Amino acid sequence: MTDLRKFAWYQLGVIALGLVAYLVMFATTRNVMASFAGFAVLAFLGVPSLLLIRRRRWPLTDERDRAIWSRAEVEGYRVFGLALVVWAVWVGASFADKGQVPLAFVFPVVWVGILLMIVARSIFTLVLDSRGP
Amino acid sequence: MTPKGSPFTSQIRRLRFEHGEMTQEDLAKRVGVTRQTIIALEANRYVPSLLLAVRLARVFQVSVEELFVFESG
Repeated sequence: MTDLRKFAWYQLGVIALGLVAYLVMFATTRNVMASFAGFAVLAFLGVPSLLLIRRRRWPLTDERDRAIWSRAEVEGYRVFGLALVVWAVWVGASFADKGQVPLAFVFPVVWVGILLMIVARSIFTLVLDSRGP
Repeated sequence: MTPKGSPFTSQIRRLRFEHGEMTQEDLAKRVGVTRQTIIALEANRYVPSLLLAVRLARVFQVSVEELFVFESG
């Protein structure tokens, strides 16, 4: 398994852990906003880079890794952009008559957007690593 | 970079065996890539950069055209 593949699996694992932490906190506090603190475990996404900072070019070992990563990153941002547009249209339609959007509908978009982007990037990395960039 | 419909057919596998059954790992080390990249090249799932193509050609002492046969017109 390549370092890039390991990194993609690690990211998906941390995000799954973040979702579990969120659900556990929601089950105990019943507070949607406070439960977002569960996503603090996403800080673990940066751990491999910190530990392997001395390993040059990690996790992009060669030109194929770089090609896969670039393509996956573009697809990740594409998913993020699409989700943002869908969210904006939905919020606009839902709160048009009120003239303002509750903060509870604005704050999560950052978390959800970042999660979607990383999940999409990781999945595309795994797919492209199997099929070719 | 697209593997599907790639007009090139890699001759790397044949040349490895003609060069004393060189392993994929050995070849990968000699050209500075991972073994997975060699596997992808042999399976025609990756079109390499010009730099990598030249490095591979030099290892086998053939031309790039001999290493990656261009099949479609």
